[in-house]
Amino acid sequence: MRVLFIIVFIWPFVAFAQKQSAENTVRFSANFSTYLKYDNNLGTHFLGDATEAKFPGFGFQFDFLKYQNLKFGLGVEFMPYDVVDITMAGNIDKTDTRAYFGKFLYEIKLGESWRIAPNLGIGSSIVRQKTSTTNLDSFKGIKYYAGTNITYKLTEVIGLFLGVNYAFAKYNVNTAEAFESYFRNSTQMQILFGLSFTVPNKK
Amino acid sequence: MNWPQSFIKPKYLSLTYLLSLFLTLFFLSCEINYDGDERLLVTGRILNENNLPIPNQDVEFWIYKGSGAGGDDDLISLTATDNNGQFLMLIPSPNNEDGFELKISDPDTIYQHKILHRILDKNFTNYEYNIGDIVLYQHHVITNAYITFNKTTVNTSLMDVKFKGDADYLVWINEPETYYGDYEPTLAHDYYKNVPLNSTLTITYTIRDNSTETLSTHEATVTINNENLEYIINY
Repeated sequence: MRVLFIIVFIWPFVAFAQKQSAENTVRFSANFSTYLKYDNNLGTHFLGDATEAKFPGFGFQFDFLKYQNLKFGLGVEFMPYDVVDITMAGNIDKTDTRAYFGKFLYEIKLGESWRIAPNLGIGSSIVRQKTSTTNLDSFKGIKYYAGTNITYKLTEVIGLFLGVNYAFAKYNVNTAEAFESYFRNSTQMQILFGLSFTVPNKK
Repeated sequence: MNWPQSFIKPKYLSLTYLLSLFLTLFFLSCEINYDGDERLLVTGRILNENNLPIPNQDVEFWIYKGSGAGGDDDLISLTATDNNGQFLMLIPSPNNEDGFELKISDPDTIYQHKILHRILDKNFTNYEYNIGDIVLYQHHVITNAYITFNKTTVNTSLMDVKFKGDADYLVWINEPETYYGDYEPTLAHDYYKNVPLNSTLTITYTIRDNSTETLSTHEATVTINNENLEYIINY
């Protein structure tokens, strides 16, 4: 996990910083996104089968490095769930997932107002569960993202954006052999909708 | 010299603070804790007295820790048997429990209810416990047998009484830590058992001769007909 953290979060600073003297330098470029989200779970697995995402989840992403059209940002997201199958999940009141991720985005301008940004990301995902009286602890894993954001810029600063992500997670869960895959893997189609705020560059 | 008040009577020594700390620790110690990254599988099948599967039986799985006012228990899963009489439950694994309990009840009250008590960690293999077949009897095919052990010989004591062929609602998966069959010689030895009609109840027991310190195992076979039965075993 530490190695992963270094690769995703530290490496961009080091790698891009070394190029600062070049013509195309890595520069600080602040862009905040805050959004509502819904996880549409695909296939048969714990989150999709025994629980159901409860709209809305929410997320926040801060893109702060830019090299030509390539951006890098960090984010966090949260999604509440309801248990719909006690047999498979246990008699649990609340479930939620949290993720902390880093994403690379390649931003393409389509005219003055539209931006499209295919992206790839990786992060840490936590599934937390509790009853009304007892914290049931959590299980953790690694989550991978591939998606696209489409942004319509209302002004130079504010934009509306819609995002679609395919997210795949692998969790560390020990269970009976027949149900290992059921608990260890999850696939989702995430729909994001929100606002993005761009800090204009100084001229 | 004037000592600061906080030095003379620090906050952490106040009675209210200590009481709160004690109560918090007490209740935390009673609470069942779980490992979210470990899931246990419990399976089984419910049959009637003719070995036919019984669908739609309510099955509950409980976790308990301690007993009485200081104890805690969680109904961690519930389900119903399918058309094959089978059930399956996946639960988060507790890490400080005393044991598990499976409760079966018939919403139509045709069949007896049953409790499988004192299921322990050791019953799980590779995060899985297959209880196997559990037989429920219809109420109208059950009668009662009242078994009495009558002490007739001085310096003997009764031990390790076991029944085979009963239809009791309470089944001990693992024997209790303090087993009620481990009698003191002077105590009465009475058992009130549910038994199927027209069946045979087998009773095994051990007699200890306290003068010679020897053990002898015995077996009694009791035939159950269509009515309640009283049966006395002299030893």
